[in-house]
Amino acid sequence: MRKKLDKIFAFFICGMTVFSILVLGFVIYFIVREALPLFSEVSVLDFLFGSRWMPVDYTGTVSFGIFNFIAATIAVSFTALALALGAGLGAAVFLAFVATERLRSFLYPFVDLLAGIPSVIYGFVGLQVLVKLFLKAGVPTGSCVLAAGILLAVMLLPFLVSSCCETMLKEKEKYELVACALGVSRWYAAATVILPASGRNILLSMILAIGRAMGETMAVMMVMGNANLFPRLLGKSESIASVIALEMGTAVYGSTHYHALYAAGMVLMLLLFLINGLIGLIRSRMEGETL
Amino acid sequence: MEEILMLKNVSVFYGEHPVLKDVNMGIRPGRILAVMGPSGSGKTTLLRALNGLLWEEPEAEMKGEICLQGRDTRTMDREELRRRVGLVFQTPQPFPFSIYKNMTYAPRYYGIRKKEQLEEIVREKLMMAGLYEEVKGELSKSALKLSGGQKQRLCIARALTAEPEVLLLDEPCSALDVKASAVIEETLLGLKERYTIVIVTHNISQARRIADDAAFFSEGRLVEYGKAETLFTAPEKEETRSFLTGVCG
Repeated sequence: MRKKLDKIFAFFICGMTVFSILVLGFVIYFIVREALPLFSEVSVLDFLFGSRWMPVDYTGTVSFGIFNFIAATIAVSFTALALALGAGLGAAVFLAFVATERLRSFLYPFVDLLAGIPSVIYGFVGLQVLVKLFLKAGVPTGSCVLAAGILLAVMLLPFLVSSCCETMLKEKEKYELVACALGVSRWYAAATVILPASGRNILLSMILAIGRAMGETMAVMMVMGNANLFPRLLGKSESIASVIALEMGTAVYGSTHYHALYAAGMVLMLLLFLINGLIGLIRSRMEGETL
Repeated sequence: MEEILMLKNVSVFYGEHPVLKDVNMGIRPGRILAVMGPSGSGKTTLLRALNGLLWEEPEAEMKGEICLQGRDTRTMDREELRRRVGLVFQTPQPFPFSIYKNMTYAPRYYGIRKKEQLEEIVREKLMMAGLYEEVKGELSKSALKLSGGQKQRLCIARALTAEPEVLLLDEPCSALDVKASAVIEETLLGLKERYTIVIVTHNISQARRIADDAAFFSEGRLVEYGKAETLFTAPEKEETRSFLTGVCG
């Protein structure tokens, strides 16, 4: 009986794993299938490096170049990650090393609460507060890459803070007393042992965060201005996710425009794989050699 | 003989719960003291009180006085106390760095920067811990890749790099096999010339082999304390006798 149950359980687990892999495979297959027809009409190079996006022929020739969108996606994500990492690491260090157990259990729910707010609400707040601030500061219309970056950073914070704090607490438990027993101060131990030991897991959190940042659509769309321009911090721009969300509803099924949007989605996906792979490579490097 | 550590009426409470009760003892330099007792008898708390780690725990409260070389440890700087009274933990926990960096961690903190000087410390202390011959060609290897016994000897060597006067060890062999334990015992015997050693151990035959003095704790009280030979062969108290025979037989 026992053996039979074990077998059923093992079978169930395997089945679930295969199922999730199949789902991923299916998503990739579907996107690639819908994207490929584009490249019989537009060359890959023109698509990736062209900066003119004119999907409907109001004014002469159509053109599909998503270079600016790619650049904008990367610019917004990394701006957001940089801002969030600064604030997030600071908050995590505070929670892990300064706050007492009681203060920590009091503050944690607030961090988690941030994660529960829908992105459209963030976008709304961004529109009402951030964009207006930028307008006052002299940015025409107020919408800009930096505003989207800041907004996105706030959205990334809860995850970054809680995962970094967890890691630090774990490493702290392992090494703090040991280091203190050598007579070094707590802060020295924190800076020279506990933070470096947390590095690998912090990188992992960054991978997950950047994935979220690149795919985030609503909030970014609401404050970035959505103009096909090369991204500058205080200028308007448009991310891949925004283009897809804004235009998919109006694209005719089966048209070049429709396929181009799928192709843009495919590029976004590849971009994510690429960045995940790169950070993963750095991470395994760090494992290979000692700090 | 002048005592290096002196405990006067030391009691430790966690909240209302007493863990050490009115302990009086003097620890003599240049000898190995084995501290024994059943689980929960306050042995680990004793070690933590001796090197001041106890003060990092807000819920622990200590009464009485512990003097290091005649000076009340509570008037001393915490970091200085912890440097002078080293502690090696039950589970060896090397930093996730190379062997070399583990060994230079404390010296660097104390301001030693010269490469030759650091290398000399690494060599000397690793030799003292009986690890040098095994690792001399691979000092840049990660300390986490060492075996359990090697890790523990590295931790002993690392504790020595802070130049302590007293070395406390909290069941250093509990996770090691007989052979690795024997190497550690040998190491400790070699160290007692220069350092005062206090070792908490569950292993009575180990205590017999290495200890000069022995102390037996039960439920936070110091039941019996004296020369190891006397305590093992002719314990005065019934409690000690039954502990020794109970575990041996």
